[in-house]
Amino acid sequence: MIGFTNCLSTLFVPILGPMEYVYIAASIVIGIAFLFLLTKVPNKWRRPIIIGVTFVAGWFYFIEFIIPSSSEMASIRKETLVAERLVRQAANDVSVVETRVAAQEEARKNKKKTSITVSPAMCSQRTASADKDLSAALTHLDKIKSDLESAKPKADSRIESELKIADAFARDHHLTKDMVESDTYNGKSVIVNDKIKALMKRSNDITSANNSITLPFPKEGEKWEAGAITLINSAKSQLGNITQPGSNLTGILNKAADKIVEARTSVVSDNFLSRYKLPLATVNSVVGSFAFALGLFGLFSIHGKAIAKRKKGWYNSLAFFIAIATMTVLGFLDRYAAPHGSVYADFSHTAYRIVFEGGLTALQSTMFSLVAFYIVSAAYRAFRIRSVDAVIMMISAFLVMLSVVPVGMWMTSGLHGNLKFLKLENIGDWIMTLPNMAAQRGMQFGISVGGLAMALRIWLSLERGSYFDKQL
Amino acid sequence: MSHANWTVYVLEGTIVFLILYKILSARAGKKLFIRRIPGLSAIDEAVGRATEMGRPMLYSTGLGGLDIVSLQSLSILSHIIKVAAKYRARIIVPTADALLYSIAEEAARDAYEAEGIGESFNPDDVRYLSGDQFAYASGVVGILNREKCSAAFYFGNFFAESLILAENGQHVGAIQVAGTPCITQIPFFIASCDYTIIGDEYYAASAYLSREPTLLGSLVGQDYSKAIIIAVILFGIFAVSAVAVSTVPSLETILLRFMGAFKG
Repeated sequence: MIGFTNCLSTLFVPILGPMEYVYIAASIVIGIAFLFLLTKVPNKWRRPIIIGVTFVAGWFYFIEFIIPSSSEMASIRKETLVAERLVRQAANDVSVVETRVAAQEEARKNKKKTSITVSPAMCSQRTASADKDLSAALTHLDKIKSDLESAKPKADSRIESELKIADAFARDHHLTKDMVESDTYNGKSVIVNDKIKALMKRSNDITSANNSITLPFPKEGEKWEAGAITLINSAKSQLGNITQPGSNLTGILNKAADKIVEARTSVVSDNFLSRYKLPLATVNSVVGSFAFALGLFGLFSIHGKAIAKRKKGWYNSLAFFIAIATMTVLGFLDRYAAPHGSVYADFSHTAYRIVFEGGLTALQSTMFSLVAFYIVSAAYRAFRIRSVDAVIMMISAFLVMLSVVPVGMWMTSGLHGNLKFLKLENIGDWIMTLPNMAAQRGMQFGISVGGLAMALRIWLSLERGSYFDKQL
Repeated sequence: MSHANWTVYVLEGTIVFLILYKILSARAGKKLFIRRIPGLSAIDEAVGRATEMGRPMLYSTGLGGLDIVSLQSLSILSHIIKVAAKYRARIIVPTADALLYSIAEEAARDAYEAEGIGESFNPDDVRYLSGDQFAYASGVVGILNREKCSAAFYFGNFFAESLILAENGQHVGAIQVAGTPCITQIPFFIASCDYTIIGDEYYAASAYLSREPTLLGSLVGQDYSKAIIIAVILFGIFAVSAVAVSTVPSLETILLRFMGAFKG
């Protein structure tokens, strides 16, 4: 098995010089032969093959998803869930007291009578409950911290050993820097592959999670945000002042809970199948590149016929061939032909940049800029008052537009106190974050369930379509 | 979320069970009702119009690769091509993804063969244009204007190019039907197209057009699933509100646990 793997590795080792062109030519020949063979597979075999591959791949992703992450990371995720719940519970207790204190203070300032009372018994009960929850949360966070701290060296040592293997492989096969992918690790440039990249991401994720839990308050000039433990300790020390007006412990505790969520989402969650997702994606890319060749053949066929038959606008087809030839030649020249640092290298690089950035990018921007003009014409049609729906849409759009331009904010800048909610920026924000967001989320639920049903039908070959024209 | 938790096992398991159960009951012969969707009813009208005018139609699969959205688009394409083949109307299918191109070509060929006129299929009518967003958009706009398309269908994943395509369709006087699950593009299609299929109607399209029991059953299963999701949302609203006003710590703990179960 090891011999076979080595053999495969040697076959796919990057290579420079004349042999590279042999490899490119051989890849094209193999690709064409593969496509030819695929087209010759009879329909009665092709469909079962497609359905079989879909079914197996579907099972892989399904099992990979339902199997929980590795026990080490799963335990961290579980701990964060408990810690977050405790902090949110404490925030809720604190919020009950703070809201009442704030309401009483507001009434006192406005010299109004209020029925809201802040009884010392309720305060002490809520404070004691919050204190207990926060102490429990800190215990869980300490456990998370120590788990993350022990996971980090393990992740780093795996990176080190993989880096050594990659380095030895590059040395054995005389690979130069131009032929391999590199990245920066611990301040030095190293050779990386997909496995090393995944390990490096895992290590970075552990660091981020640890930061979300443990970072202290930043000093002046420092830009990070304090971690959950720091925030909770700070809130705990201020619990005694909760009845003082202006106290904002709820905000601090909610921030701490958010930091715990941040840590949970940072933690890489994988199981023994996750490592095969990247190679599968690579297989998908390879199959996709075969299909790209098919697409290119289709384009050649359409435009070749147009030129041969002198169809109307045949010169556009000629432009297609000239463009594709120019980009291909300049692309190859830029990458391979000229030795680095030579006059030819500068020439080919400049020519490539002129065509790519001066030509293609400018054309793309031109097309994109058309959107602005089309928005105006589409808006004109959409906002014509034809029905009640169109009136509601026009008024909403008008308010949202005004809410984001300075003149709109100026128009209602005089509204204060109880009328503050009528400020255009508040109305615009309300429209976007409540009715608009609710409608969007409603649609999103329907779309997700529809997508799930469609995926299920394809996976179980229940879907009827031209690609599966009869159920198996 | 990278991996499922118990909430996902339960919720997803229930949804999958409901969909499969309804599919099986539909296949066993149970009659199912599906409401009228004007945008999908307009497809036949658009094909008829194109036939009368003697001008081709255009079907864009959008920018998506070979994914669920595009497979649904191919399903709709297959139906439209069958109708077009019946009336001997021409339909041009520009694609932006090479994988999708080869499948769309086969779908079109199969649709013509299903109508018994396989020899009328012109492979040049299914085209791969470019994987680049605006190169694809300019290609489609070119086809719309050169061929003076009488109908244009946009089904799939669309991004900033949606308005460019739909406005050019308007310009050439095409009757336009669009459907996309990309929420940000739906307003543009509504503004520019004659009919727009929104949200999960997109996934209802193949059931609506074909009236296959399997697809109808799946659609009804989806509706039951949505009812469950609505119930969970309503209970979530109640839980959040109750936690905010509650003075009973044990109730708060239970409700917070419930809400925590839905977190990743």
